[in-house]
Amino acid sequence: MPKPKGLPIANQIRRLRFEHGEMTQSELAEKIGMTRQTVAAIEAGKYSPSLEAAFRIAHVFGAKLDDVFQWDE
Amino acid sequence: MSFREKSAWITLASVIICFGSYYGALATGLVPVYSIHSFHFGLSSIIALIVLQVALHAIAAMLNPADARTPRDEREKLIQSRSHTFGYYVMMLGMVVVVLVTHVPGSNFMATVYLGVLTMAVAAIAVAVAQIVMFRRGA
Repeated sequence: MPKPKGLPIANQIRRLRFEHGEMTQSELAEKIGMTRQTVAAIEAGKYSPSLEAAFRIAHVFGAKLDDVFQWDE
Repeated sequence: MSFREKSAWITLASVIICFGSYYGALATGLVPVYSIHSFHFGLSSIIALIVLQVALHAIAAMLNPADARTPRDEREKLIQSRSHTFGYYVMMLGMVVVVLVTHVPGSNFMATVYLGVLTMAVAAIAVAVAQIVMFRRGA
């Protein structure tokens, strides 16, 4: 669970990708209309996505928002 | 590396090469500062900058056409916005220096023009560097 310095938001994207047929970052990026580099930055906790992007990611995995992102101070 | 990051590197390299050679030639005396040659060399540098930018961007797009066609996503838009804000402050600082220089005794029109163009080049470098740093850092 990546927990970036300064960003108190953790995420489960890597785990969810592997649980969904080992989806690649490029495949996820294509599904949510972003670049692979942005997905990598979100997954590594270096970038906080907008609420819309967060919902799009959760929707791809058929999960609730807080199953994907957690507030983790 | 994404197409946008490559684009930032291309801008950084081409501005440094073109304006670096121009101001380098002026500083070392290869081109007389107050002459028509400096104007012609400056014009050539700007044309070279445009040609270099177009050619390198075309090559980068040909190497990965899908990436080049992809519209900017929210992170890339944020990076673009922040880097241009940073570049704007650099430009404003440079313009303050230009205004101050016009009040220095002995300064002339050409000195103001040289400094103004240098300010624009430095601002372009600042934007490209800021983009590269943010792309490397994540955002």
